[in-house]
Amino acid sequence: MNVEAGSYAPEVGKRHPDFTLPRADDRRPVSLSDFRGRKVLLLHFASW
Amino acid sequence: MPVWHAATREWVKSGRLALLGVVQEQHAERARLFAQWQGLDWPILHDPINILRLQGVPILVAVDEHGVVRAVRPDLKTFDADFLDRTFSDGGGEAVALTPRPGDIPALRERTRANPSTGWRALGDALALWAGPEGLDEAIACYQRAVDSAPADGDALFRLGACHRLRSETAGRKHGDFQAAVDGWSRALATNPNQYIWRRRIQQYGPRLDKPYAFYDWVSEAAKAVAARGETPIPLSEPPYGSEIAHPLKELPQPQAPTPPDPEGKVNRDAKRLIEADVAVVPPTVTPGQAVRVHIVLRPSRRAQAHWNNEGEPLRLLVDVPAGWRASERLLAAPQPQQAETGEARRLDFEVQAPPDAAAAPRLRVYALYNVCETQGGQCLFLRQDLPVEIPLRK
Repeated sequence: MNVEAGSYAPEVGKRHPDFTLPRADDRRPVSLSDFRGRKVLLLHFASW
Repeated sequence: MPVWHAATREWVKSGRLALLGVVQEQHAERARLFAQWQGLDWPILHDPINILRLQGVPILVAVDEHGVVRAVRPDLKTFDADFLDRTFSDGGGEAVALTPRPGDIPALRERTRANPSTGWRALGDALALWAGPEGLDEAIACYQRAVDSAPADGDALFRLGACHRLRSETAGRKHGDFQAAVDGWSRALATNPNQYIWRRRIQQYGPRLDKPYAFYDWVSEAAKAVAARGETPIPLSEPPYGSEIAHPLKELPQPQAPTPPDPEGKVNRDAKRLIEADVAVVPPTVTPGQAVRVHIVLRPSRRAQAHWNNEGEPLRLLVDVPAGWRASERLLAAPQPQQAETGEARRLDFEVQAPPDAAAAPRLRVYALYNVCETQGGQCLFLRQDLPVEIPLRK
């Protein structure tokens, strides 16, 4: 477990740091690593 | 983002690509309504405390099958050739975790003993994300300890503010939670003025003179559009109001002074505090020439089992400012439900602008007049409450 966070700065060619957050709909935890084996488009956005 | 959503539908359908959203938003329900309105049918994760430490949004990142970043802000025109059609080899180095998982809370409690300087913030993060409303008291206490030991920890300050705001919307709210939220966000921003997510959180509740756009004016349009499709819009337990839906302004209006309804102060004061008032000023200080938004929340006291009496005049708020200062409204009235008796929170907000040569903090005279009943079917009274609105001047 490593919970020390640096500023969010994903680097091309480096492994994306894993994260686990609750789903907005049912609060179930989901991790980026749950998608291992699939290509993922990660969309960071806001609803404001 | 809608462009990417539309353009990637076939790739998602065929299994070539997964979309994963992360939304910077305090209220999960608002994010859900936004997704319902826009037809975003992929998983959306909720980051209410900006634990990922984003400086701004939107950001799109293409991550390959090994978890390695292949593009930041990819080009849609070449996305399939550059990313989807390619097979990547692993080699991205060690994976680290940016966030705690739900099961980490006991270990993080232990860690506060070994490393208090970072341990309290980490425990606060875990509680804020995973312990629900019941965990907010402890999350706030953790962040407060983190800030006590590192006063310039902007992340801890922002998250302390976020948890105060979250708690202000729960039954476990404490007096002053909203102002404590604004104070935390403002102190955080002072440590890093370039932090766009933190700045926007203050602007969401702040004055129209400092607002880049209306933050939640889309909500009513979204609800109508969803209903028109025959679906039930995601209900919002905290519908956006006042400053959250207000559009930017370049100059404050100058309303005429109203005829004061109680000029001599003859209406009985609410000595039993049947109505509890909470005041927040956003941002927490005003500089000469600038404006603040004053939020006033009034709630019938649960302790006194009080409730609004809706058979008389609606709740009114009178605002008087010193010479040279401007108030956007001088007389406000709260909407009144149809039912004879209700117990909801009533929120009113207005803006106050300092003159360019302001030399001292203003003495605002603000009072509320309302009809309230002591207990169900009990005595009903027309009362006044003078509200302490302090706006510190920062030169």
